Amino acid sequence: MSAGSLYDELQRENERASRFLLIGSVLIAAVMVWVVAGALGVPVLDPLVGVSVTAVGTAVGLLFLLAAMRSGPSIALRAAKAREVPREAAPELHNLFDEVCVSAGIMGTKPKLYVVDDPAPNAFATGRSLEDSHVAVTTGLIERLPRYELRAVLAHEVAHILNDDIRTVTLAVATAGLVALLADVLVRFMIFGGGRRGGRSSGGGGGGGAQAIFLVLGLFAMILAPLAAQVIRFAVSRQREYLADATAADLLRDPQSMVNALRRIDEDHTSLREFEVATAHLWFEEPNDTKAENSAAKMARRFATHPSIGERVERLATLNAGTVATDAPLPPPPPPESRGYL
Amino acid sequence: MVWFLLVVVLLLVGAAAWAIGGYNRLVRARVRIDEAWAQIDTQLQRRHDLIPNLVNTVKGYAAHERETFEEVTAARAKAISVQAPGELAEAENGLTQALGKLLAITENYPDLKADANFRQLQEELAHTENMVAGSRGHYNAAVREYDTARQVFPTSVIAGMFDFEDREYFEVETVEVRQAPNVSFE
Repeated sequence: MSAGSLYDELQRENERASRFLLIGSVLIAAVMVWVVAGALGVPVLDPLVGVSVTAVGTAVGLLFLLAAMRSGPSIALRAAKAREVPREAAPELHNLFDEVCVSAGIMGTKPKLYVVDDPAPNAFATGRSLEDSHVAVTTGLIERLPRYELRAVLAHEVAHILNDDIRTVTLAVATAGLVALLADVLVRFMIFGGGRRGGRSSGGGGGGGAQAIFLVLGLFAMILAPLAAQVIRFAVSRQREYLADATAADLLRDPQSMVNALRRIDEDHTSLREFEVATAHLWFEEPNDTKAENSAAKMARRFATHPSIGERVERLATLNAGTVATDAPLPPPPPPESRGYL
Repeated sequence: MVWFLLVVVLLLVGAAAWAIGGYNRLVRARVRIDEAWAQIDTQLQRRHDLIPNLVNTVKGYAAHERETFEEVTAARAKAISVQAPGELAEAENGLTQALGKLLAITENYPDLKADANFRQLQEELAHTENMVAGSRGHYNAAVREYDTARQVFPTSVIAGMFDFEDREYFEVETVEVRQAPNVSFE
């Protein structure tokens, strides 16, 4: 089956992207550590000292940040004002979620289900592992999407959990945080460290010259490193959206509902009332406004964490060639009184 | 001579580690199948539990369709009585057909379709059928994975040595109740 091999190809691509993210972000962090150490006067041009200081510094930094990220999921949920919904409050929503979980074979470790009070149709997944995973949907999504399209969106979020995307994103955020922290150290050093440097160089001889070069390097790194970390994160999270769409369609054997859900959400122009830019990559649809014609929207498109919905629909249609329609009129939205969920 | 022995020992240790890894992979795949089968069992149980309720509700509006009711009840009894995957699939497919007939009948009774209790049952039935379909999909995927490990070299060698038996796919059909919830809420 050609769809199967295409799907395998996507999955391999996702694994490659994970490695790229891991190696790329660790390299950026290592370069930053090296530059910061040099600026602080450590003789990093000596190969032995340079390599060992950089390796130890990077490892310690990443470990600290990963430890700090343990609370990441609960922070993301709180930032979105998500509240957990018990089954009694939303039996039909839980029914849909169960259908997704049974197809994925994770009934034993079902993620927790949350609702966000927001009219914009959107959803996100977060967590550290399958055992500690959370899926949140907005009230707008529940109100606007018919049963099977809502199920497709839930499956997309579960797919992020199955594909280990939540953990990779956590790592990416941790690295970006480490780089930002190191850039901050450099800034502080440049502002407050200048006087001390003069005193030390008078005693130590030629160290001052190399340090000055590292300060210039640091200036470049300060500007470029956070940008590079962002670019890596975005490149990777776009790939993940395609794969999550494909995994969701495959899990439920229902690509048409996935396509319809994407098209319906694309037609909707309600913006999320509240979201943190730092959590943009978590959502089902890009929460930044990328549709308007003004320059802010143009910039948002360039830095979008998600591919355009048109592209996502096209990829799904290619994966499921001949079985989905991308231009048929959408089924009617659910009548308001039918949603006894909330 | 000492080096030669060391190499032999290392090779033996390597081979043992490899065999244990392959064996564990097969065992894990088999456990996954068993878990998936337990899930199918749960979902079929749910299906069987739902039917008496559904039949009684339809009976209230269409009492003279006795033949169909009997067919559904008999198919349900048969599905409950069999155990082996092959027979079970056959019995469940019989039940699927009978249920399809029952649902077709309901189309002729507008009062029944407006009944709140029946609408609730329809959502329950749609959900149950989707749960059956979902657990079947996961089970078959687990069997496919196990089969691949059993047949592909090098794990095939270990599968042969430790008698990892053949597992059957489970091909059960489900009733299409797709349109039901949206229609019933109109």
